[in-house]
Amino acid sequence: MISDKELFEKVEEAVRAVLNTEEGEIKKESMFKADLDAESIDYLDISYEIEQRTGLELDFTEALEYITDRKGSDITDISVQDVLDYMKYALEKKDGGNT
Amino acid sequence: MSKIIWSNALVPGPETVEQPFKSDYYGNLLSIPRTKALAIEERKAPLPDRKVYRSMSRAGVMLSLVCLEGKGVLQPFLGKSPFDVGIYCAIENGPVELSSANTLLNVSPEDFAEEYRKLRNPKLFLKQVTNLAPAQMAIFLEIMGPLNVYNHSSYGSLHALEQAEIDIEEGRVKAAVVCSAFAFEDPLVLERIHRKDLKERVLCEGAGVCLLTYDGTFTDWYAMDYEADGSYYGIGHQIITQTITRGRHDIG
Repeated sequence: MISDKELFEKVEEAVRAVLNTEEGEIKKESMFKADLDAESIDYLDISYEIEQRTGLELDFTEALEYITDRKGSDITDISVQDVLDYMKYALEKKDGGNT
Repeated sequence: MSKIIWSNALVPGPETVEQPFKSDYYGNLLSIPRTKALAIEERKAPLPDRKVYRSMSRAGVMLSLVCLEGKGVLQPFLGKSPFDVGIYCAIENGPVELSSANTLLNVSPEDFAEEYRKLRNPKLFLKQVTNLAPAQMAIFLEIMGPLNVYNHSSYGSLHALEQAEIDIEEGRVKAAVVCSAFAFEDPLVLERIHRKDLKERVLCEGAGVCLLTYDGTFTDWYAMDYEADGSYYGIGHQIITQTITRGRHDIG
């Protein structure tokens, strides 16, 4: 199982590749739209880069459902931490399915 | 019926060392002995949007870089009407991503769809759209006039110059941004140029732009000498050569 630190590093690297941010600019609390200027097409690109690095297919629709279940359906932006939480959930689900 | 009031070029300088071009995917089948590439890293290119590089071909990045320097010169025209400035761009189709194509050669038909999805970056396809490069540049410069794109490998630049001349003469536009960029992206395009157009010249990456306006004189772009320079700039050759011949930033 990948550690939280490793997971953040991989997600940070993937997001940085797509959004071309400075090193250290992406933090766990960074909001994709408000802080990182991400647009809808970038989510597809980010999920591609995350999959390249982690092997996990990141379905943003499913991720959004997971996040809105926890934070409310009126959210307009998600944070890097939200994505990390979903990925941990998805990885656990995947590992559970394999055992 | 036009004159060039401003021009700019982005070409390898004399200090750039000639290198042979080889492709990892074509091996010995494809080799161009004398080439010069521009020292530009797309990700670090100073574009107005830092993440746009993901959807832009290398030629697209170079096109925006060379045209953005004309922002001040364009301002009087755009101030009157952004719809009266047209773009006439000669550019090749964007690159084919050969790395994933090579991997997919060994994938079974059953696994192909899944592997294809995994290997293909969703923004990759945007790089292949010729219109996107000048459209992105138009967004950066706030040009809203007609956008014309030509992709004839040998004559695209001349087609762009000729159509700009006609549109200016007929009053369709008040100013024409005639531009082109050529990058080492598609090995097959380079090989075609090598066999057909290169002769003894050095194949160079480059980008060029000329701003044309009405002045009542006729320019026969086809009759000009584009062979004097020892360099060849692919689809952008005639526009870039014009720019170099006239001197950069030749205002007035």
